[in-house]
Amino acid sequence: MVSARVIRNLKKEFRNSALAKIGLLLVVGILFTAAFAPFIAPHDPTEQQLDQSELPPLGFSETTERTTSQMVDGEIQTVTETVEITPDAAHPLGTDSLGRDMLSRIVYGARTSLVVGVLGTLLAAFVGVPVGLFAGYHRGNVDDLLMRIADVSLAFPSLVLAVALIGLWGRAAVNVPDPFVVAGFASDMPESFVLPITVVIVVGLVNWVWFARVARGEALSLRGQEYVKASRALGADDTSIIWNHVLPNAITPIIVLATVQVAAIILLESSLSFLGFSGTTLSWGFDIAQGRDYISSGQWWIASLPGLAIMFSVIGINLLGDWLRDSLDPGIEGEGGAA
Amino acid sequence: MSDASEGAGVSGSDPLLSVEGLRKYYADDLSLIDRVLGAEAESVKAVDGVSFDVAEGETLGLVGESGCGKSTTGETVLRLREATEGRIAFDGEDLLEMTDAELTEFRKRAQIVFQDPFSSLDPRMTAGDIVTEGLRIHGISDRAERRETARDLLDRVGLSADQIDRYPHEFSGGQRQRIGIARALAVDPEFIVLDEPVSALDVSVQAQILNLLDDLQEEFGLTYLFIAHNLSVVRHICDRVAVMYLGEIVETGPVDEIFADPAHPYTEALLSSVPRVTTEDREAEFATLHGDVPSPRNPPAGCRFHTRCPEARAACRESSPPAYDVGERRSATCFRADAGHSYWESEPIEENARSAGEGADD
Amino acid sequence: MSRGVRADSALRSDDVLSVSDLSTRFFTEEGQINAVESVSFDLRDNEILGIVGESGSGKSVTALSLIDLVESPGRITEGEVWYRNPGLAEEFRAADAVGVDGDHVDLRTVPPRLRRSLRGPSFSTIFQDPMSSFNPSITVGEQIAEAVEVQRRAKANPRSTRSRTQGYGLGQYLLDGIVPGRGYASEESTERAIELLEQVGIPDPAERVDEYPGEFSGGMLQRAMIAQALAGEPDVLIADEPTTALDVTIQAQILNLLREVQEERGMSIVLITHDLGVIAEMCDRVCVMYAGEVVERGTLDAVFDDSVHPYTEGLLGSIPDLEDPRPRLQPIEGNVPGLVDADMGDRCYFADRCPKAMESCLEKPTERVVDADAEHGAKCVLADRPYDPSEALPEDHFGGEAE
Ligand SMILES: Nc1ncnc2c1ncn2[C@@H]1O[C@H](COP(=O)(O)OP(=O)(O)OP(=O)(O)O)[C@@H](O)[C@H]1O
Ligand SMILES: Nc1ncnc2c1ncn2[C@@H]1O[C@H](COP(=O)(O)OP(=O)(O)OP(=O)(O)O)[C@@H](O)[C@H]1O
Ligand code: SF4
Ligand code: SF4
Ligand SMILES: [Mg+2]
Ligand SMILES: [Mg+2]
Repeated sequence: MVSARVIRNLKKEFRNSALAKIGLLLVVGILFTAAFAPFIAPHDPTEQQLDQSELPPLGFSETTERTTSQMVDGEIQTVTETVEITPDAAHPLGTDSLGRDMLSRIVYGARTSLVVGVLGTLLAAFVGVPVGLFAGYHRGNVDDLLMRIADVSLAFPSLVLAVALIGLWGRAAVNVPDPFVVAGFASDMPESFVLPITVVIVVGLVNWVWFARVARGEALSLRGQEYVKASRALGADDTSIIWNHVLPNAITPIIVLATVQVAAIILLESSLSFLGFSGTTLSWGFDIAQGRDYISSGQWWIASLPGLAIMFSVIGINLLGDWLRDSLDPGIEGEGGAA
Repeated sequence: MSDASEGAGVSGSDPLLSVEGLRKYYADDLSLIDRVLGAEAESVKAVDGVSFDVAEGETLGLVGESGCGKSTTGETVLRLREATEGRIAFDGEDLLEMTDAELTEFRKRAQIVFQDPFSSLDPRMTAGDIVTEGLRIHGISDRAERRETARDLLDRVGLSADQIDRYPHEFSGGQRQRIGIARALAVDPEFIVLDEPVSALDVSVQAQILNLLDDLQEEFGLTYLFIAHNLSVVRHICDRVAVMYLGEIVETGPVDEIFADPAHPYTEALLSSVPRVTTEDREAEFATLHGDVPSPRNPPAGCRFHTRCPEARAACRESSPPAYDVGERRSATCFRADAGHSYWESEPIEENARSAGEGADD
Repeated sequence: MSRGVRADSALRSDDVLSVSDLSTRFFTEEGQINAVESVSFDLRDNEILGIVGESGSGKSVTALSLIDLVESPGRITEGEVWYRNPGLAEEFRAADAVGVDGDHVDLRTVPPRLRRSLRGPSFSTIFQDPMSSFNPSITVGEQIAEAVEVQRRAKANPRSTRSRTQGYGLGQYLLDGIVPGRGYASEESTERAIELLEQVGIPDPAERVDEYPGEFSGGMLQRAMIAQALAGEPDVLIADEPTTALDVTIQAQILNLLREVQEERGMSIVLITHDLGVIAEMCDRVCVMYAGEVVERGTLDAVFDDSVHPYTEGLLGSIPDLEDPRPRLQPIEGNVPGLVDADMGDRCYFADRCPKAMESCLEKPTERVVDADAEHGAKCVLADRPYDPSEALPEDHFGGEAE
């Protein structure tokens, strides 16, 4: 499946495209951040320091009107004074309303986003690809039925569907112990990482349709190929033809779709967290939801920094997907007839 | 309609493959709405009552213009497509009644080689894996033995055994066709359907492959059903030939006799349309048919060829001719083979005769 | 100027087109591809010139080079294309940059704009695949009428490229978008389109003219394409494998039609094909191409009956004979080379497949005259001397890479 040619093409495209380089850089950066979060984050992302709340990021200072009430001569007087809040080098990206370190939250948030994005995509692919290949290869009634289902579910916005499904099943999240912390390498950090299982399942079930459609389209065109016919003439059964000939030749667009889906699912997870459906409080989407109320009062960073993180990871993954598409797509067929 | 095989008269031993009254209609896919409204599926009558025999060790050619149903016939007799109607017997066994296990056995005995050297090989498999796919499917021999077999086979079809780990795109068209042939040979078949195996190749490579097919037939005692549209190639490689037009076989017989003295007007027209590679007797104009092949969706009533036949008469519109016996193992589906038929008394169809005389100029 | 087989090196007055030393290269990532290498031939009045060769031998690129349609990364790197046109010759006689010789001008030296404007009125082309040569969303009639229109404008004002696009500005374009189906072809052009369709033997042309390409069969589309090519009333028709995609009976119809229009209009046709039968039936003179070169050329009889070049012999020996039952074929071993400059070497390009390759073939043979009367030339040492087995190259001289 991964021939020397594919690798050569990947390299060539990579050399020629600045965007591919940016994409790879972003994605590797995010992966690294997520994997080594306990070492990168300066603070425990859940630790609240109320006296340090709402600190702006480095380089920005903030003035706030602070109203204090005092007992003066038995009367309550309110004194409004303008105080300058200066950033603290210990919190380079500032803190949120509860005094939690933004940088640490974003670093840990990458875990949630990536895990949900990748697991959700895998689940969607594991459901969608076999269904699509089967439908496309066999055609007929099965195909009709599956595609009707697909059409109908595509007609609903995926967020609405996800919310409905979560509403139906409730939400669940499990704690996964953090290996670094357990091993004692990073003692100040949270001991476990919250995996929002429901969200993974729901986004998987919402997004499988995309995989089914792409896989079906590929299977439809591949089933007519003469090598598939030849394989049947040799006595292969349908399952092994799908496995040996159809899937390997359909894999390129599926991989490309998967990168797009990871990005889409990160966005979907953020929306779900934002709406409070995810079950974890350490997520970019959750922070955006929290920070939203503070934008009007001047603490813009609480919502917009996680927003930027989402933006960069989505861009990175999409650029990576474009690179894969460009280097895998020219197709072995197109270049045939080497002398 | 009587069967060609009756007219042909079975000579000597039983044929290896015997096809009788084979029909294959492709039904249109109806949309859901059409189905709800109860619309009836119109069908393409790709093969419409075809009968022929292939004796062991011989090569039967199947010729005809594009879309006349040659590939459909070839694939249906291997049960790669399900027949709509008819009987196919392979070595005396009824193919359409076979159980799955029997069919798996049959797949080892009958193979196919395709036309397109590019789409017939999986681009993601190496030459070695492609060639031994059949052995893998049938669980014959282990990995190491299979590799050895692959080397032998590649060698046998004129490739180098070192090329075993190369991918299809690293081979030229002719070399790919050799791999396709090796794949078919791997399961040691008796019968091979060759679906235009040389049509996509250059003449020099085409000649290499034709010679190879000749050698292999001799070496392994193979029986071929050779599908082609190139009459010179058919003439070269076939013992007998069946000429198809619009889903029907219009003439069958030994290739020498048919080419020397065609009994059906369509065969005659085909032969005279082929440009000859000689500098002698160049004619000012080809004698040829006018018009296009009608759609197999609703073929003309009566003789299917009457819309283009230069000899057509009124009688040809009314009923379709049966297969007449016109010699030993020869038959032709044309009223002209029957000296006593009312065809001879009926009126010629003027426009056909005129346009045939004027060649292409309608 | 190297005219090889010609006794004199002058242009003949009956040469419509005379090509000399034309080379076209593609500059690709794999390296430089010598698709056409030093090709020379003449096209006479009223004749059909055949170009025959296997796939990848450079036939199509030669045709494209004639009408300057080679696309990037390809470029014509060398050569002259002399075209007989007294009007043009007069116009450019004084111009230093433009090659003029009697009534002929060297098209390689005239301004590109002018060269472009000759497409249609002077040169027309028919391609192998009529399906992809027509726009599927415009009616056949409109597409032919468009060609007629172009011709009419070019006639009215021969030197202006503007005339070819006049009357089809932005406003017209918008209007077309808003009122679909109203073509910009005038009534006369449509009329002429019907006439042309009738001439090429399309039944009911008046109705067919409003149909879309998808409603035509392959043979009919090829006829329509010929009609379109005839719209410009060209001097030269270049037909690149016009019948390869068609069935024999339809092929015969199209070949008959080509022969007819050639005779009626006194055009000259360059007929490109890989079918030696088509060449034998249709052509007066032939060029045999191999690996980008014309390896043998001359009158049909000379090339087919007295062939000198082993490649020509090999081609003729490869074809099964319709009349003669099963003699074993004599194929050329091996495959057509890939034409990458770096791999070509400085020898006879055919030497690795040639059954008669000798020591002296390792030096690149120039074109030799075999028979001046028949204008018969061949790029092969065998034109000068007989085959000498004692000089034969050893079997494995080329590393045995030929299969
Ligand atoms: N899967 C299919 N569904 C519907 N119609 C089909 C299908 N396959 C073939 N046909 C139709 O059946 C007819 C016969 O097709 P077939 O491929 O057998 O012709 P053929 O003689 O092999 O032609 P060619 O020389 O072009 O290969 C054609 O009209 C074709 O359009
Ligand atoms: N756009 C291109 N880029 C690179 N190489 C090209 C291009 N077009 C043609 N070639 C090369 O030029 C050579 C000649 O091609 P050409 O199309 O003229 O062959 P041909 O004789 O017309 O073959 P065919 O019979 O297959 O049409 C080939 O080796 C081909 O690979
Ligand atoms: S039956 Fe009539 S139409 Fe048919 S082939 Fe014979 S003469 Fe022609
Ligand atoms: S020059 Fe030599 S190698 Fe080339 S074709 Fe002639 S004999 Fe063969
Ligand atoms: Mg076919
Ligand atoms: Mg070409």
